[in-house]
Amino acid sequence: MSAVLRWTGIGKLISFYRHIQFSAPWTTTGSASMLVCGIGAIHLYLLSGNFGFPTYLNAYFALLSAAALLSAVGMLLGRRPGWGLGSLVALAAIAVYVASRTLGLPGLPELVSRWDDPLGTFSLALAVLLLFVHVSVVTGMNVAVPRRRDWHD
Amino acid sequence: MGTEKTRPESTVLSDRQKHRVTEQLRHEQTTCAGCGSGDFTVGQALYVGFLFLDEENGNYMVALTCNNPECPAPRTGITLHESAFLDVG
Amino acid sequence: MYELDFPVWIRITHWVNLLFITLLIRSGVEILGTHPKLYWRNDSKPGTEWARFTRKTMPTDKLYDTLDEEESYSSLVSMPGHKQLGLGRHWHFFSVIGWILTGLTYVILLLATGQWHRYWPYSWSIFPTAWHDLLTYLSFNLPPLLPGQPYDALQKLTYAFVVFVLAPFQILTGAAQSPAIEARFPRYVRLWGGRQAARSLHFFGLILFVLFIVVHVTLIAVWGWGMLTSLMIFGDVESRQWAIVLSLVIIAAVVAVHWAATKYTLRYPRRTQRALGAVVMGVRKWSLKPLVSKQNYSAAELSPEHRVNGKPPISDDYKIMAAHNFADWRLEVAGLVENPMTFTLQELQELSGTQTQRVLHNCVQGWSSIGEWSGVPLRTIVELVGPLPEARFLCVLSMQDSGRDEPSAPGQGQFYEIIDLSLARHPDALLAYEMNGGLLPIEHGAPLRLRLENQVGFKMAKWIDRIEFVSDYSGIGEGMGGWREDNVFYDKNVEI
Repeated sequence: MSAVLRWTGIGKLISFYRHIQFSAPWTTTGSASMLVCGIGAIHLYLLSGNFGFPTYLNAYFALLSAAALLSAVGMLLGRRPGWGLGSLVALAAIAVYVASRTLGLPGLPELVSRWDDPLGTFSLALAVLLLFVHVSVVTGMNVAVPRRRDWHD
Repeated sequence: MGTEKTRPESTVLSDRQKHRVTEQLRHEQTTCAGCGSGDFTVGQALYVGFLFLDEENGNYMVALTCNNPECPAPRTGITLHESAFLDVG
Repeated sequence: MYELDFPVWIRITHWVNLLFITLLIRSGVEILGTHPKLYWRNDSKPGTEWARFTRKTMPTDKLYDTLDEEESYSSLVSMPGHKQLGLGRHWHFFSVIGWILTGLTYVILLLATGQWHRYWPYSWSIFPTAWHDLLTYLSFNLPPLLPGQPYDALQKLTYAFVVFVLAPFQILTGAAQSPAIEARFPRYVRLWGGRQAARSLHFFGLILFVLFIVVHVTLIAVWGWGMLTSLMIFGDVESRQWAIVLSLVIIAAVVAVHWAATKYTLRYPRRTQRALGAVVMGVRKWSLKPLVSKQNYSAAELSPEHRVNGKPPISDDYKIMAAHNFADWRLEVAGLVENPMTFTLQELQELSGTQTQRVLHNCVQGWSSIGEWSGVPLRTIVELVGPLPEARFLCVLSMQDSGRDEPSAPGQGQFYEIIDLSLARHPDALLAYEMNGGLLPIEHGAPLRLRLENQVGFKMAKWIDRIEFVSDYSGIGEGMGGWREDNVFYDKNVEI
């Protein structure tokens, strides 16, 4: 496997991220918490907008919004579980949105194939960005508060 | 001459440290390259371990001045590790 | 009402721009890679970078310099790649001249022909319309074009931003990194938050350009590659099939130019240096070279840790001289002069007219620091020795043998740099023997170094022991005007 990665150059391409490192813990944490808040806000809007969604979906929206808020607070307080929760929120948002447009959700067959929802696309973009920021923290490209870079040169 | 000033990289040696340098010179039978004399005045020690690629950490260039008034090149030096003349630890 | 079509000059400048902008991006990455760290503060203090694009770490118990930190990037992302800063700079500055000329031609013709209307926001309503366009794109649909215009509102605002904001922003932040401009207009650099902030902002500009290109090309494909490339090649939408073929041919041609230029540059670096250098230095000669330093930073702004480049001579002679505080050191000034002279350090210190300058130091690699330098103005020495009429250059020789002392710089032999006699007469050209109020430290060039405040750092030779006045430098070294010019293809006059 490693020989394949080396021979094709894919390994080098994948490991390229190691050459990129930022020292911006507050920008990183702030961006991630804003992204998760954005996802939360969209779902809160869906909850409060009286769109006639089934109860289970409203409960999911409420749960996701609360989790998003909790995640943002956790991140800003420098708690690692805040990041894990944030990624769960993002993954849930992506999974439920994609499921609603492909498999269909109970009571909402009309959403299948309805990809032309700007709010949905926006929410997906926020979720993907949040996952990307989290991955960047896990891989060491970024650091999140309370961690700091210890670079001497 | 400007030799009275201390360079930022140099250390002024105490009499005891200078004495240890002199002992080292005697031990190694160091003679002046200019005139062959073995009589030196010990000056400041320049830390070379950090600045110069070819030097080991802890090395100093200790300034020596040949005491022979006829010497054509009286200013010379010897590389010593700090353990040989500085009071360490 | 003007017809906002695609006249031939818009089509030509568009494709020429594609070539120059891509050359600028790749050569810019080469320049970034030579000091792959970005800072906000002028001192570039180690460890304070907000971004780094390297995995190298430097020792704490040994002197290292920024040549050790240089990264070698692939030619796929950098021009020409493989740690060739000098050649990357030539390409960057050559391309920027072409890019600015293309841009000026474009803007002048926009204004002259009325085509500027394609970017003019006639009413505030364009912003809500652009917002609606964004929502339309997010719903995977295409928004309507503005009535009588070739673009939708979001597209119009984006193009206007790229042409009239982002492009000038890149030029201005690039100019803010020129030591000559920084020296002459220190307030201008402050306007950007300092030299390193300008460099960081220039980097953000690069990212925005790359993002723009990616989104632009994607949306061209979404809207209809054939239709839009037909507009941009033939000026109408009649020849879509041909446009698809031709657009791919043009893109392939741009890639081929990149490939050929990169291969040629790496294979014939000297020829590239001469050819591009002739253009670049010709422009600098009248634009940047005459600029004289007006900077005077406050003592509070001095960098606590002034970075260095180049390592001190490792010869025993040098170390012994240093241990004796350079009492045996001599500066010989000779060559095409009426009175060849030799100075001891004390004699230099006793010359009248000691000059002190608190200035921003620019390394060719991109870092900066602020230092205070004191010494004898070079023009004082020039007046004392009296150059003969045929003397045109000064060859400043260092005690450093770069091949021996600087493993991170490829090349052999004694370090030297050639400067023009006119530059030696600049009021800020200084032979410095003090730094920040103390003796000049060894890593900064003790006992004597050159200061030329409108040049980048490598011209300011350190550990100097000889200055020779010459009429021509073609016979010195490889004849390119200095050790770095000879060995790593840097440019001789480096006002940027």
